[in-house]
Amino acid sequence: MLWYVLIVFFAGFFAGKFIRTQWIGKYKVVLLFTIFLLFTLGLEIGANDELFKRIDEILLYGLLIALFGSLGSFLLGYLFERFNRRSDFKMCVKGIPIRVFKSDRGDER
Amino acid sequence: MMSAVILLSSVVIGLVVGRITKFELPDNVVALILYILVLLVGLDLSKEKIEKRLFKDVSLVILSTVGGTFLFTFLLSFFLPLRKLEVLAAASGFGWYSLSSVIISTSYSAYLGSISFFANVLRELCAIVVAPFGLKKSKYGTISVAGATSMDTLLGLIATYSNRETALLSFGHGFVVSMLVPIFVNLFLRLMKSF
Repeated sequence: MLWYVLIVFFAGFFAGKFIRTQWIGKYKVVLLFTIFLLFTLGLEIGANDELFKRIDEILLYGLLIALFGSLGSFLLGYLFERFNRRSDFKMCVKGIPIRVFKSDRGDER
Repeated sequence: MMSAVILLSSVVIGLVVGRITKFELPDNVVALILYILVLLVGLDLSKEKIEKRLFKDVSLVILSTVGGTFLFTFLLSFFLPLRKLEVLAAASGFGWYSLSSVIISTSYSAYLGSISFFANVLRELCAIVVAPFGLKKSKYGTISVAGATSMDTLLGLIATYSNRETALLSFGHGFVVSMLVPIFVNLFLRLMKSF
């Protein structure tokens, strides 16, 4: 599964060097397929009886693990990003940055 | 914001429809949609140049995903009626519910497998909800929350709400974290057998 995902991604990545890809951003095709994927995800869980039997405790423990895992990840990521950005700003000559920090350019779309 | 509502409701609608109709999709339909999505994102990212900077960013985000998840779920494990290693094993899917839950169900217990399934499904949901706001606050943090799904399901969403560079970072991170999932799950299961 993981390998197929990789192969498909790199196939697209290299094919895109030779063909036009502007339509993907223009018509929000990625968003459309994401919606479709999430729908099938819900459909799969909903149709599975096994998962709905011991739902209460499983859901509670699952929720807590998910929340704590997410919170820890976000906090650490936030700290690392700030730390990383500060080290970027050190590359200044008399207060003028010699390299523009890329994510400060703003979004491309 | 509007997109987050649409995305979340598409999960809920799917859930309700699945519950009522008991309609089961053929196994490879979800995978096929996933491949199309990943192909599209690959095409879209192809115009981006890969810079050396990216490797440093990817390593930092991976570190925050793994470190943050284990640190906080370990703290949580003191308050749950589960073994500490069980909690860590359930959390080490990093959002990849199909893999972690299957490994745990088959080689440890179906109960913990189901907990792992929901922990990771809900983590993915968490990431879907967080992404539109989170990316404005911290790109690293949001990608970390997405965990292994930052290379597939969440990749489309992250690409929509940020720039191409962040999408590339997201993919690189998801790729490495996905490979870490079976390693960590097996590690914790093995530790449980020996203690």
